[in-house]
Amino acid sequence: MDMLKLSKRKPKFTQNPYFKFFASVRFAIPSLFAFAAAMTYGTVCESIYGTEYARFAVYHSWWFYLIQAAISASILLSLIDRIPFRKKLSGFYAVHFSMVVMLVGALVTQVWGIDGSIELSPDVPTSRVRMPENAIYLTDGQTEYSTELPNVSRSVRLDGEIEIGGAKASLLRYLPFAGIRKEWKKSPGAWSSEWLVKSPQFEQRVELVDGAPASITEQAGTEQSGGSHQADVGPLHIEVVSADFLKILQEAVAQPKFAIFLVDVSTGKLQGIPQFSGEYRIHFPGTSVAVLSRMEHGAGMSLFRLKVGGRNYTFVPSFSPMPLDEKLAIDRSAAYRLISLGAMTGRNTVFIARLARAKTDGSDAIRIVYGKGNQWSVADYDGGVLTLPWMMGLQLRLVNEKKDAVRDGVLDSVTPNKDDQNNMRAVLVNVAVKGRSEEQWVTNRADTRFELAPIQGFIGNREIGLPFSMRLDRFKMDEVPGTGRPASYESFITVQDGNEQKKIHIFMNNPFKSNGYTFYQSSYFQDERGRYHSVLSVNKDPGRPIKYAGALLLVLAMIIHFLILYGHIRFEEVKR
Amino acid sequence: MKTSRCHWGTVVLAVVATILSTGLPRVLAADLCLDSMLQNRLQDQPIQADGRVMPLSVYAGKIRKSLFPSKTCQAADSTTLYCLLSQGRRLELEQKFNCQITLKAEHAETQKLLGLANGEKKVRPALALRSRDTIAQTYHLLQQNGKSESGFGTDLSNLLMYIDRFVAIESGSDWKIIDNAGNWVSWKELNTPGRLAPNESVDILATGQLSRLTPIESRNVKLEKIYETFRPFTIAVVFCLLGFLFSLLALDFPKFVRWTKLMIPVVLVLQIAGMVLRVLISGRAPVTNMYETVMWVGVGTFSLSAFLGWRMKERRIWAVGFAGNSICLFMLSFATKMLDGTIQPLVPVLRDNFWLSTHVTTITLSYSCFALAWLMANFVLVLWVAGKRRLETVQKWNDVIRLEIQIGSVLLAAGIILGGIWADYSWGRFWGWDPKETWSLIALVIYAGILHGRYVGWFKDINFTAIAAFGFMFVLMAWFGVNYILAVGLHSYGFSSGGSMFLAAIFIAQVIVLTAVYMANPRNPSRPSSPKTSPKTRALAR
Repeated sequence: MDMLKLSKRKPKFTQNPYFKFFASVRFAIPSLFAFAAAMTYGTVCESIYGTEYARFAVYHSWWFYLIQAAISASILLSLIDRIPFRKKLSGFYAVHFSMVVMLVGALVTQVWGIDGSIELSPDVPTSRVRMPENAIYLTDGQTEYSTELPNVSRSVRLDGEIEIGGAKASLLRYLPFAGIRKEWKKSPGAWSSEWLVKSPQFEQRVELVDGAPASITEQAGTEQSGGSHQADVGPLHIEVVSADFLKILQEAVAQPKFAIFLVDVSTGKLQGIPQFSGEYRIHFPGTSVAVLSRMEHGAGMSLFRLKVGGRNYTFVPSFSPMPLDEKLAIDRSAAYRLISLGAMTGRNTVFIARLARAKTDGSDAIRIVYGKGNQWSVADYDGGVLTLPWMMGLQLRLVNEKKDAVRDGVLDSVTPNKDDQNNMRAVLVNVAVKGRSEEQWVTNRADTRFELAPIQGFIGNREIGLPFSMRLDRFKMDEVPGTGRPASYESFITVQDGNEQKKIHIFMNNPFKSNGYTFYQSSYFQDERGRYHSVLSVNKDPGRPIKYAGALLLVLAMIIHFLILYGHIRFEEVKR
Repeated sequence: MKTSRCHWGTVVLAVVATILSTGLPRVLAADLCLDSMLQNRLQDQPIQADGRVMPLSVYAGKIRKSLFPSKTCQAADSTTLYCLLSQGRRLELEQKFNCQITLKAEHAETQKLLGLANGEKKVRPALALRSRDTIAQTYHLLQQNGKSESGFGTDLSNLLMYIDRFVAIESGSDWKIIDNAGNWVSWKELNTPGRLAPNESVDILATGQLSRLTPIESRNVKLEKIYETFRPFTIAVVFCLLGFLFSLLALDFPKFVRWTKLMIPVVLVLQIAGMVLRVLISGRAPVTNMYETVMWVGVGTFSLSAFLGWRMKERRIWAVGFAGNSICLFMLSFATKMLDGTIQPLVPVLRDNFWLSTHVTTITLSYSCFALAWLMANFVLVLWVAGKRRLETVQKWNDVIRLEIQIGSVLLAAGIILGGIWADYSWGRFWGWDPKETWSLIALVIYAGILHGRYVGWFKDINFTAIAAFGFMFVLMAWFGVNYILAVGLHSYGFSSGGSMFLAAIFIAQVIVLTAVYMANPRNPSRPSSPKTSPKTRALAR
């Protein structure tokens, strides 16, 4: 302001038509409305795609910065345009000048400020602060290499190359919001099917795969899998089985008087066994006598021991029809299976199988065995909707099927959903050793191991180190009396700074300050052992005093400005 | 003989009186819930539930409202109903009052799931308990499909909550009372064999409970009884509507001016009394949920209109203020689905905080300025559409509207800054593009644009009125829309449901009014040419 006062003349450049435009209200008003529109878009984005996406796609995008720059320029130029100082405009100067101060403060915070968090685990000292930015980490066990990933909302090409673990690793592409896109892949002998399970209350699609190579079925349950052979839909268990197994099941459910069945894998014959206690003798035609003995094994689980031809097999039918070896692993090569439908399926279960050339015209048939306990039915599926009677009105419909193919997951860019708390991020990394190369996605979900070189990679938050370390001694949570809701969180922490040790106590609205950093109690979580971990937010804000000064000035200035404006209006004037 | 008969009669009376005064309470002791003599004491019984100490009648009323459909066992009052239920005497209750206890099941899909007849919005507890697993599984399924926020999902999660609460009530573990030793014990624990003599529990319940509470708890229990009985905001609605009527009549019949003036302090006193009671009961500033912001905006709008009306000697401003306050008070008393008025313990981040209190009051006061400006603008717009198109009148009103917007902007700017300071103080950052923050800034930026546009003369006369009216839509968005429509972010304490329809209705109504103004506006208006700007404002306009 002093500077403004000094100049008595209007500077010449203020006569420039471009300057006049950018300093005028004609530019200011559209900028304001554009700013409002951009922010509206940002909040809508956030409510649909989530906080993280909005941050990258709007609030930290170049065009959002551009709009803010336009407003800052407009304010600054309008001040310059009103040189030399005129007393009657002092309200105007004060308001707009204080905004400039606030903007400077915000800029300082943006550039030099730190806003991260630190996770304190019980009795483990740490000094690593997690920043909101993402970084990719590659390590060969000795050295760790990390690089910050750009703040973008769409997939971008990266170009980074490092020597690590005797190999050359290059970063190719970054997907800030990654997801799995399913793609068909050839897989001889596999049968993929997609079913719609419908009840009056809900409907859900399930993808099932039978006979897929182990690499896919082993991943069942993970996101990259092309589908599993079984799925749970609310109160229903649905499973595809091999044609052979379905035939056995079909035979078994046709004999409801038997509780369990012994299957001879070599002949495919099954033997019904009624309820018994102690020992039961089975005469297989043409083979020796088998003795089955039953042991109750806590929690209502039955354990059977089969003695046949000098060999012993142990079965737990509620776990698997295949016997277990000494290490309690499933023995797939065993010659016998023990099936107990009641024990195996404590709830409504649907078994599906595709029977090759089972129809009279030589085409494949889809057969379904469904039921619960000892009530079972068999149905052939011929397209359309199959209603399962006495099973809560559930309906099945085959939506899609493909033989000799499985749907495999491929990583690709996606627009996130706000309910996804943990967005997947991925970087495509190429590792090259002596002319051979390997490409893999490194994600924030799990560590990626490369085969060509002993390299591990993952995506995490960028980290910075504190000049001291902190250790959580105790975490305390108070309850609102009579309820389970938390009333307050408190962390008791030891700070180790060189040889100096200090005990501190951080709780809600009582932060700890040191070395320009401020630590706030922000959150907590419990690990699987029930121990509490404390999360503190870590903050360093050199722009704070500037922002606060600007804020104080702004409010005072606005009051003064409007008082000056109204100085000459008397209230009675308004009266009709 | 005559005297002797008289004598005997006295003796009989005395005996009956003695039995009544000493023996009878003991006889009826087992029937605590139904005893009419104990009724009053039972209602005032301080209990601990949901993390607070309050009179049993208040809690019972709240439970009844939330768990049961509105006409469930109307014959029994809430306390009796709740008392019998928590003693596990549901059958007796149903027989005595000839009614059926049911839980709410409002969504059509829920009724289907439970196998109820179509449109039967209630479910018997036995069926609900049997179906709990099915309900939980279905809800889980909806969650997996990201549909847990749908109407059906919300209804299911509510029903699960009702069922669990009902089980807690029937097992006697839902509420606690203070025993002779001064410990809070649940009804179930109290009735554990060996804990107390058979009749002692009744004695505990009926006598001298307040004295065992801490002074604050005992005062709060009494105050809450008063608050629940007199309902100051509901009474204020009546007077406020009366005031509105009087202020309208006063435009044509001067003798109603006195009545209008009388209504202003009456309504204000009632409102402030309600707020003070709330503060005393909850033991904190009333700045923590949507209900309380509406309360502030009501008071703010009304006080501002009272002041402006008096200062400018313009009674029509009072009419506008009465209208605005009536809307707020009406929402407080009757929009219970949208605004939850129950007093609840605070989430940790909102406890004992000077910055939060000043931030919320400043923001709500700024909203009240904008609300008054909005109502006034619409008042002018409607008159305009109705054919009363005197430009001078519009300009005079616009001056008032601009004044209100200016005051509002100062308060809003201050409020946003205070909010930043609070955020900085509580979790270490001044600004984080949280939707609530962002929307309040949007509102401020919009009003800044409107004010600048007026300085330059872009928006003048009826156009200014129209755009000022529309500006309030952004305030509504910041105030309710973020919670009811966008519903993401840190300000999760205010999120609730049922408000989006309300917002949409206001928005549509506003658009209709603006369209009507646009249609009523002649294409080439022959207005007086010079806009009324002072030399000072003209200096700013370039």
